[in-house]
Amino acid sequence: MSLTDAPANTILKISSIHSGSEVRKKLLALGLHIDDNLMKVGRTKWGPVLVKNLSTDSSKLALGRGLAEKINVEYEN
Amino acid sequence: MKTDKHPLPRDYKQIALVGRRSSGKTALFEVIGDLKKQAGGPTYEEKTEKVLFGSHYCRLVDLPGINSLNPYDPSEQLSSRFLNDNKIDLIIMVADSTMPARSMELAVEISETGIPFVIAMNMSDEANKHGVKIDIQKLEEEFSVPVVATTAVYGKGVKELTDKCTYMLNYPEKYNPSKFKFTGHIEEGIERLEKIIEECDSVLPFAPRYYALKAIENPDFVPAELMKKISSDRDIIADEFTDGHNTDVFEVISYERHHLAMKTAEAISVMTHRGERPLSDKLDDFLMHPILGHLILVLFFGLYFFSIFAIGGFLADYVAAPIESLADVFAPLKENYSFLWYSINGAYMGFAGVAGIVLPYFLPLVFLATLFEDSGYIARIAFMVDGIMHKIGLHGKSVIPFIMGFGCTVPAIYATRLIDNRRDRIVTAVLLPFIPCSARIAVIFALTAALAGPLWAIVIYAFVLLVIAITGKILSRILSEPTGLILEIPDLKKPSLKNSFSRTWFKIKDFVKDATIFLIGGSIVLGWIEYFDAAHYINTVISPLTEYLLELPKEVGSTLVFGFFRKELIIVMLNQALNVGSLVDLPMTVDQIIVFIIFVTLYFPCFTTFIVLWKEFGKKTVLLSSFLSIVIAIISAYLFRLFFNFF
Repeated sequence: MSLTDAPANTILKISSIHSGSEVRKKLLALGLHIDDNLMKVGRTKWGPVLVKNLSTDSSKLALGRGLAEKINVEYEN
Repeated sequence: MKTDKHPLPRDYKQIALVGRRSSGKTALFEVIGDLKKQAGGPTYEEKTEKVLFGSHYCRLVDLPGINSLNPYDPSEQLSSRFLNDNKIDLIIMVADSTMPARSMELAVEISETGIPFVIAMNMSDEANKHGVKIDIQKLEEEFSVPVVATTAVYGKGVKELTDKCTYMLNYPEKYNPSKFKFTGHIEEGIERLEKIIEECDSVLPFAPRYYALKAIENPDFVPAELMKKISSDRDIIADEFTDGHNTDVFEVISYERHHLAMKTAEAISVMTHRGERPLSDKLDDFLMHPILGHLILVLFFGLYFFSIFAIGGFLADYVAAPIESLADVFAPLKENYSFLWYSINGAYMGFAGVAGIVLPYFLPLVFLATLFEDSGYIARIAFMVDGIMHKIGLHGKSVIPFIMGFGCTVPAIYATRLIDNRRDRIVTAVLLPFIPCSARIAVIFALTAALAGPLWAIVIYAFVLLVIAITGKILSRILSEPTGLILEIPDLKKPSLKNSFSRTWFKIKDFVKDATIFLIGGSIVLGWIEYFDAAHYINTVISPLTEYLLELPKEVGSTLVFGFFRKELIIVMLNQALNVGSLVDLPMTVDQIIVFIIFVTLYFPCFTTFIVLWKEFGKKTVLLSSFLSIVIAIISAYLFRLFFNFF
């Protein structure tokens, strides 16, 4: 499922990112990698998505909604 | 430590401070350089200071923060370019101890360059508070480079750090950092490329491994002639890396470094207690709450603008009297040396404008902006407003320059530097002149209050915001698709007044240096226009616009020229042009005043903005912005004219 549909406050794992390489490079630089665990903070139907990157020092990152839709996540079992 | 007196000897050593944004680099730069200049806040250009390490004369360089040696936004480009194009003898890597994992990735990259480096695990006090314990010993073993725990703000550990630097400078041959090996076939491929680079035996500032890696992941950081020699081998090896999986070769390298960094970070840092959620998180539940967050935001903006105008107004009145008294110093010149008088009077008007109107509003604006930038609340604002900004083809980060634009367009243009995407920067910069700066707000309030009543002021504001939205929409259609918001939300922290004061001082100096020459220069030109009584000619030249299209009195033409140089002059010149004592008895009907205000608010940013836009974005952007402003101003004013004629 895409990050925008994922529930909040549950541990998720990034499975794939379908965006241009430029954006992927930016995300890599900000510490967002495939297989990283993250948690969506707060659940809004519009506007940017706020995530906490659990695998790198739980730093907080805000992602535009369009971009968040391109990030696929699964539940961390 | 400081050695300002005599210039650096030829063989001076160069030390660069490298680290992520807000890892405390500038604070460390201050303490080492033992100077209290600028502190806190994002660094946009590098700052240098001459320091003494043991017997070595050194040039200490504080570079803007970077996440990795592969740059993204303008300030990151600057740091990577600087490291690439200059002889660097030592790097002090400044790491934020509260975020060990992210800092390790940059440390691995720096170890690849082969340049001797020292790691300063900064903000160590902060880390302890967050329950993060860093094992300095283990870290030194991992990288086999000196590591020191520091807290730059209190100067803790800085002495030990400088001693280690001096030791490194004394015995550079003792420096052999551990080599971080990637996994299996990738490492084998890179070593093959390294050997090829070694055979080229061209003199290179960095180690062969750095160029091998950069050739694969970011070729434009490899010198052209070297790239020519190794490009065929590079392509073979790059294909080997990606045939395993379909990701881009850049990611393969990045993941390798990421896993290495994660391994190191886990080895060296241990979370003692996570305890209850830090205060910053709890606050965020309110600040970023979908409904509550917006309420707080509106309240915040109200408070922000109210305090700017309150403090600005108080300062302006306080300064007004002394400035006025200056006038009669050169008054006697008027009779016999009138040309001289007009020139001096022009310069005086320019000075009075800067000191009397611009600075009083500029001071609270920049100070408050740095205060909430320091506290991290500005990232929250960008987050909350992203949805609305997206509608006009921009994203949250542009809100920061927009907020500053309400005070004065010039600092807002500087603030666009923190937007990483070039396209978004240009769209933001082109929209900025439409945001009424404090001078134009003063004009709108003065004229509407005198002749049309406060309700019209709100109508004008709403119209201007509508113009910004529509122009933004059109611009974002023409230029490429806007990139989504990607914004780090730092932890909220108590803003330090010291930082904000010194940064405001630094920015004011920047502004006064840039703006004052043009402001005063422009005003002298105005003095001459008055002297040669050129107003009459200007009026006739502009009359097709003012008299026929907008049906305004002809004399208004000259005020537009004055307004170009400085907006606040419009009120003064309007009185003079229509020879009335005060605004109330201006011979203009309500609709004429409204049409005039609309045109004046939109028609052109001030002369200083024009110059700063030119310097910051180049000729093409500034001409686009000027043309756009004039066209939109004419259309809007004409629309209002039609509206009034209709009713």
